[in-house]
Amino acid sequence: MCRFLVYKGTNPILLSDLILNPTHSILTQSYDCRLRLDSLPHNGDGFGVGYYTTPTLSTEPCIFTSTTPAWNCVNLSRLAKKTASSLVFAHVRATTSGALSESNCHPFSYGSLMFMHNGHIANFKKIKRAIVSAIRDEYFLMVEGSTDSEWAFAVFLDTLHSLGHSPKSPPEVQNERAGGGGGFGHGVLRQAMLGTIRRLNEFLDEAGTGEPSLLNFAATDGHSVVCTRYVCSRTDEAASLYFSSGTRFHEYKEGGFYRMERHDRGQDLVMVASEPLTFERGDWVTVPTNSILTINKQTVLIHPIIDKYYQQNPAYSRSAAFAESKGMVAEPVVSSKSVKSGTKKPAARNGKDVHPTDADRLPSGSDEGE
Amino acid sequence: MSGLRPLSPANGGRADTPLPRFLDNSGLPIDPPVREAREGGGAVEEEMPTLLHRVKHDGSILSLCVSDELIYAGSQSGEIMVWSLETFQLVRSVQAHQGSVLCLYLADHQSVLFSSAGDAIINVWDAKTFENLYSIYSTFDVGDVFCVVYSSALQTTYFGAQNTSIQWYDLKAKDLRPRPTLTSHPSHRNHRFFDSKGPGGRTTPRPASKVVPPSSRLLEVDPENIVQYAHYGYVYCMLLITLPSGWEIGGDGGEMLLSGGGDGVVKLWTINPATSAITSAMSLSAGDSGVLSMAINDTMLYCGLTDGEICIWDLDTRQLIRSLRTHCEDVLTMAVMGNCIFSGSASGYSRKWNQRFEHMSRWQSHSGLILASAATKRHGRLIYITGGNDNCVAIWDASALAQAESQTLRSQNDQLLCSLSKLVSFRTVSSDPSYAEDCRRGATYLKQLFKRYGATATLLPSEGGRNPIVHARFGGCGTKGRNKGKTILFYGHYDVIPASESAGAGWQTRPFELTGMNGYLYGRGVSDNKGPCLAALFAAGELVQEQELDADIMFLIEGEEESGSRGFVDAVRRNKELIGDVDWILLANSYWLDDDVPCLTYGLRGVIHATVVVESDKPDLHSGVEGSRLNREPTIDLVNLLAKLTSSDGKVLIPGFSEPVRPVTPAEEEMYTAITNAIVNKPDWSHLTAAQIKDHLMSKWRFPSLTIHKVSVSGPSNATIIPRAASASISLRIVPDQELSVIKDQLVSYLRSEYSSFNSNNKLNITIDHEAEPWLGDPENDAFRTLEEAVMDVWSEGNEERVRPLYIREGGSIPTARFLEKEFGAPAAHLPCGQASDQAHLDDERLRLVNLYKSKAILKRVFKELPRK
Repeated sequence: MCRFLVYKGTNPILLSDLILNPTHSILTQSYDCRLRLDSLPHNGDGFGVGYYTTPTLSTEPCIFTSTTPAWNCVNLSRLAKKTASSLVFAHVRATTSGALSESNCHPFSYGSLMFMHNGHIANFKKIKRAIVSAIRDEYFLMVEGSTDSEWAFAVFLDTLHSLGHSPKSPPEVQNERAGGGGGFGHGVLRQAMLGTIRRLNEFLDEAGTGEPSLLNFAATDGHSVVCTRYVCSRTDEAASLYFSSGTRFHEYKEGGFYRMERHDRGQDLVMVASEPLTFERGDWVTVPTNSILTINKQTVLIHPIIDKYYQQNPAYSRSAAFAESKGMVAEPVVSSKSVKSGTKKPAARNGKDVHPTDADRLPSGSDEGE
Repeated sequence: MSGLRPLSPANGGRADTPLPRFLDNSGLPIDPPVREAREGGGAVEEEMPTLLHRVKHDGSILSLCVSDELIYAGSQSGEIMVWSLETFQLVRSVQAHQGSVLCLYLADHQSVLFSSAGDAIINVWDAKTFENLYSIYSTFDVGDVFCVVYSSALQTTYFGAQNTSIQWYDLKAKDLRPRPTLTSHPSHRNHRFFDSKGPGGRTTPRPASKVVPPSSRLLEVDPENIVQYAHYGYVYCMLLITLPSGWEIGGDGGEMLLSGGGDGVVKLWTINPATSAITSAMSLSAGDSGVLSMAINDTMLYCGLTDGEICIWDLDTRQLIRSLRTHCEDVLTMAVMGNCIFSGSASGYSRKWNQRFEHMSRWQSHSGLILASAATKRHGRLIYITGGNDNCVAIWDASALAQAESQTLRSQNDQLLCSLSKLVSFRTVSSDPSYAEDCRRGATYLKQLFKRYGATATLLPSEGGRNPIVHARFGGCGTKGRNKGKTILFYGHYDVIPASESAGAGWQTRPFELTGMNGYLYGRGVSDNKGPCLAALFAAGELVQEQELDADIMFLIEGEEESGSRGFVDAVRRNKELIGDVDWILLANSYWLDDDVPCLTYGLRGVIHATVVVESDKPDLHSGVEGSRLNREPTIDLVNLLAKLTSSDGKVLIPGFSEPVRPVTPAEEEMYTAITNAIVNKPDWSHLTAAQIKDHLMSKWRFPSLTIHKVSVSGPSNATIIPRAASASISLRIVPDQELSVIKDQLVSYLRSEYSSFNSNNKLNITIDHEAEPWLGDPENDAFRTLEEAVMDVWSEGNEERVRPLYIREGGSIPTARFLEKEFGAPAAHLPCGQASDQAHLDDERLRLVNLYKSKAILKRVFKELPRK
C-alpha cells in the first residue's frame, strides 16, 4: 500500500529537504518502507508531489505525478532541489485498486483542493455504484482514474458541497466565509472530512462488507490541512500515521540526518507522515487511531472521530493484525509473539490485570511495541 | 491604545468601540498612564523597568521559575541552569533532559523542582542540591510535555502534552505501583518503526546510550491516569488553584486544575481528592486562537493567545471580561506578582498591567521571542525575569512601575548598584578636554553621594582647569578613646580612559551604560576605578549608619589619574591643612593574578616615560631624488640610537641601571612560592614549570624593564619620503631601590653620549613626559594583617576551607601611592578588587558583581577594625 507525507510550515521548505534527503524520506520509503510485511520492492507504482506556489501564480496547487518508481525519476530530484513551498503533499503508491496510470497517482486536486489516501476501502467494488449514484454530476465527472481513493475524493467534494461550500469557489469567496483566515476554514474542511467518512461507512454498512476499511486521508485547501487516521473497526489498529512539529528541521549530520528542533513552543513546521522521515525517536508522535488531525495556521488540533468504531478507553489496545495483513504495519522486533497471527483478541487493560502476553506491549494511545 | 476594547455582552465579548480613557477608582476619567505606541514602533516608553542584569546562554530559554534566592531556567538543549538572584552567578547547570525544557515548576515551599521537556519525561529535583529524585514517564506516546504542575496536598503531579492528553502521577502511590521495566520507557521501548529492520535486515542503530536513571528513581504513569483529548490541541499550559470556599463548582477549599490548549479552550477540572483523578467541570472558549499562557490573580484569569490577544475571564462568574489585542504576535508567557500582571510576546515586547488591566508600560525585553517569564519580590522590589530565543535571561526591576507600593527598603547592595550605574553614565574621560563638563558632573555627583551617606564633602580644585578632586570625610563616633583622631585615607579616581561608542566597534554593550551580564557588570570605569571607589564609599556609609565607625575615613577621589594625576600633588599640598593627619592609606585599584584567588598587592613599579626625537634642519625629502649615502637621515639615527638601549638578547644597557635593585630575600622567595603553588596547575599557566612561573612573575614585578612603545616619523610616511624628523616613545619601569632622579639622569646622559659618537648633524631631543615612583608596602603591617583577615573571612564565607590571599606585586604604576605615603608619613596597603579578566583600559571592561559586593564587605571590615589595632 501507499505512503504519504504532508508538510505545512511558516516558511517554504525545499522539496529535497523533505522528499529526497532525510534518511527515511518518502523516496526511501518507496523501496524501504518499514511498517509493512510484504517483500521488496514496495511502493513502486508511481508517486506524486503536490504543492502550492505563490498566490499570484494561482491558488491551485502544482501537481507532479509519474508512474516511474520514485527512485528512478531523475526529474523528481531535479525539481525537488529547486522547488520550495510551505504546503506540500507527497505520495508514493503501491496499487490496491486501479491500474498503473498517471491518472491514478495521488495527490488528486480539484480547484484549490488537494487530496490523498493511504489505505484501502474494503470491497470497494460493492459500493462503487452506490457512490456513483450518490454524488453530484460534477464530481462524478471529475473522476478520471479507477482508484477507490479518487472516488473517496469525489465523496469528499460532494460532502463539502452539501455543507454549502462550493469546492470550485474562488478563494476570495472562501476567504470571506472563513473569517479572513483563508480557504474554507479548518472547521469546514474537518466537517467535510468527517462527513466523507460517515458516508463511506453508510455505503459500506449497506453493502454489508465485513472487512474493515483503512481510511487515512489528507486534504487541504492551500490554507488548512486535515488528516485522518481511521479504521472501520472497534478492535483493529489503523494504518500508521505520525506527526512532528517544531521550529527548525535541520540536517545536523551529513547523510540525511535531520532533526526537528524546538527553540520555542511554536510549531513553525508541521509534518504528518505514514512513516517517520527520520530515525529520531523523540521527534515523531503517533496520531491516535480514529482521530482527525487538523493544521490550522500553525496550530495542530487533534479531534477524536466518535462513532461506533470509537474506543472510549485510551488504554485499550487495538490489534495490529488486520493492518499487518494489509501490509500496513510491520512486525515488532522483539515482542512479535503477542500479535503474530491476528487471531488473538485484543484485551482491555486496566493497570491491575495485565494480560501476561501483553506485558511487553503498550496501550494503544501509543502504538509502539506491537 | 488600539487594542483595548470593553466587553459587550451582545456579541460575545468582542466589541470594536474603543475605550476612550481609563477610569480611576471614583469612576472619573484619567489620562492613560503611558503614552501608547504600537509594537515595533520606535517610541520610547517613559516608564521602562530597569534592566538589572542579563545572563547569556548558548540556546533558547524556554522555561523559567524563581525562588527567593535562585533563578531556574530551562534551555533548548535540555539543560537547567540556576543563577543566584543576588549576584547572578551561575550556581549550577544540570543536563536534565534530552529535549527542550518546556516547563519548570517549584513546589513544596520551593524545595522541589519539576521539569518537563520535549523528551516526554518529567523530572523531579531537589531544588537545593539538584539531586534527581524521580524521573516520570508515560506509557503513551505523549510527545512534548508542555506543562507540569504539582499539588503538594495531593502529592500528585499533572502534566499536559503534545498528544492532547493530561496525565497525572500520584507520588503517594509510587511504592504500590509495579516496578518499571523500561520496556515502555520513551527512549527504550521497542518501537515498531524505529527498531524495524531495513534492507539487509539491519536495524537502525539506537542513538548512543542515553542516561537513564536507576530504576529506583523511575516512575511509570498508570495508563489509567489519563484524560485523552483533554483538549483538541496541544496542552500548552496549566495552573493549579485553590478554590475559594463557596464556589459552586468543585469542593470547598480544594484544588482545581486549569488547562489551556491549542484549541483555544481553557478547561477547569475538578480533582477527586481520593484518587487525584480529574473531571472536566467547565470549558471557557475565547475563539480559535490557541491558549499559550495563563496567569491568575485572585479570581481573574489572564490568557495569552496565539494571535497576540489577551483574554480576561472572571472565574467567579465564568464570564469573559475583556479581550484585548495588545501584542502583535503570540502571547507566549504571562506572570503575576502582587498587583502586577506581565505579558510577553513573540515580538520581544513585554507589557505590564495593573490589577484593573490598565496598561502600565511596554518595552522590548528581548531581540527575539519572549518564551518564558517569572516574577518575584525581593528587598521590596518587584523583580520580573524573562527568557527568550535570543539565548538570554533578563532580570528587570519593575518596582518603579509598581506605584509607590514598593518604594520601601531597598537593600544596600541595590543602592550601590544604582549609584554605580549613575556614576558610570558620566563620561569622565580625563584625557580629552571635551569631556571636562562630564568630569565635573561626575565629581559633583560623587560629592553629593558622599553627603547623602553622612560624609562632609568638598571639591578640591586643581590648577589649570584640571578636573577637581573629591575630598570627603566620614566622621567616626570617636567615643572609643584611643581611636579618636585616627584616620584612614582611601585614594581612588573617578576618571576613565576613553571608550569607543560607535556601534559594532569593540564593545558589546554601551560603554557608558552599566550593563549587567552573566554575573558581570560591564561599563567603562566599572573596575578601574569607579566600582571599587563606591564599594569603599558604601562600606564607610553603612558603618556610619550602624554607628560602628570609630575612626575617620577620608576619601581623595581624583579626576586625573589616567592622565598622570596632573595637579594632584599640588592640590594635596595646598590643602594639607584641610586634609589633616593620616594614619593609613588604602587603595583598591588593581587586579587579582587570575580569576579565582583573592590577592593583596604590596608593590608597584615606578615608571619614567620619555620621548626621544632626532630631527634635521631640512624639510621632508624625496628619497629617489635626495637619498644618498652622504645624507644623515633622522630615522636611521634614531633607530641606531634606540639599538644602543638594549643588547641583542634584551638586556638593558644603560650603565648602572640594575645595580640598585634590591636582592630577593628568603621571606620574599616564600611569597613567590605560595603564588606559584596556587597557580601552577591552572590552565593559563600550565605550559610553564613552577620555576619558570616564579621567574616570570619576578621579572614583571620586582625587576625593572624597558619598553619602546612607538617610533613615528614626520611627513606622510609613505615609501618615497625621507622624514625630516623621527621620534620614539620609551618607558622604563623601575623598582626599589632605583632612585627616580638617578635613573632619569642616567637615561638622558647615556643617550646623549651614545648619540654624540654618531657625529651626526641632526639634533637629538629628549623629554621626560611622566614619572612615578615605585611603591613597596610592608605585608607584615597592621593594614595588611587586617586586610588579610577580612579577605579570608569574606571570601571563604560558606566554605570550610579558608584560603589565604596571595601577596602579589604589580608591574604597573600608580604615581600617587608613594607620594601619599611620603607626604603623610603613613603606610599604604592595596586591595585588588577585580579579576585578571576585567579588561581594564580595554573594550568590554567589567567587574564581577560578587567582587563588588565582597570588596565592599572587606573594606567595611577594614574601616571598622584597622583603627582598633
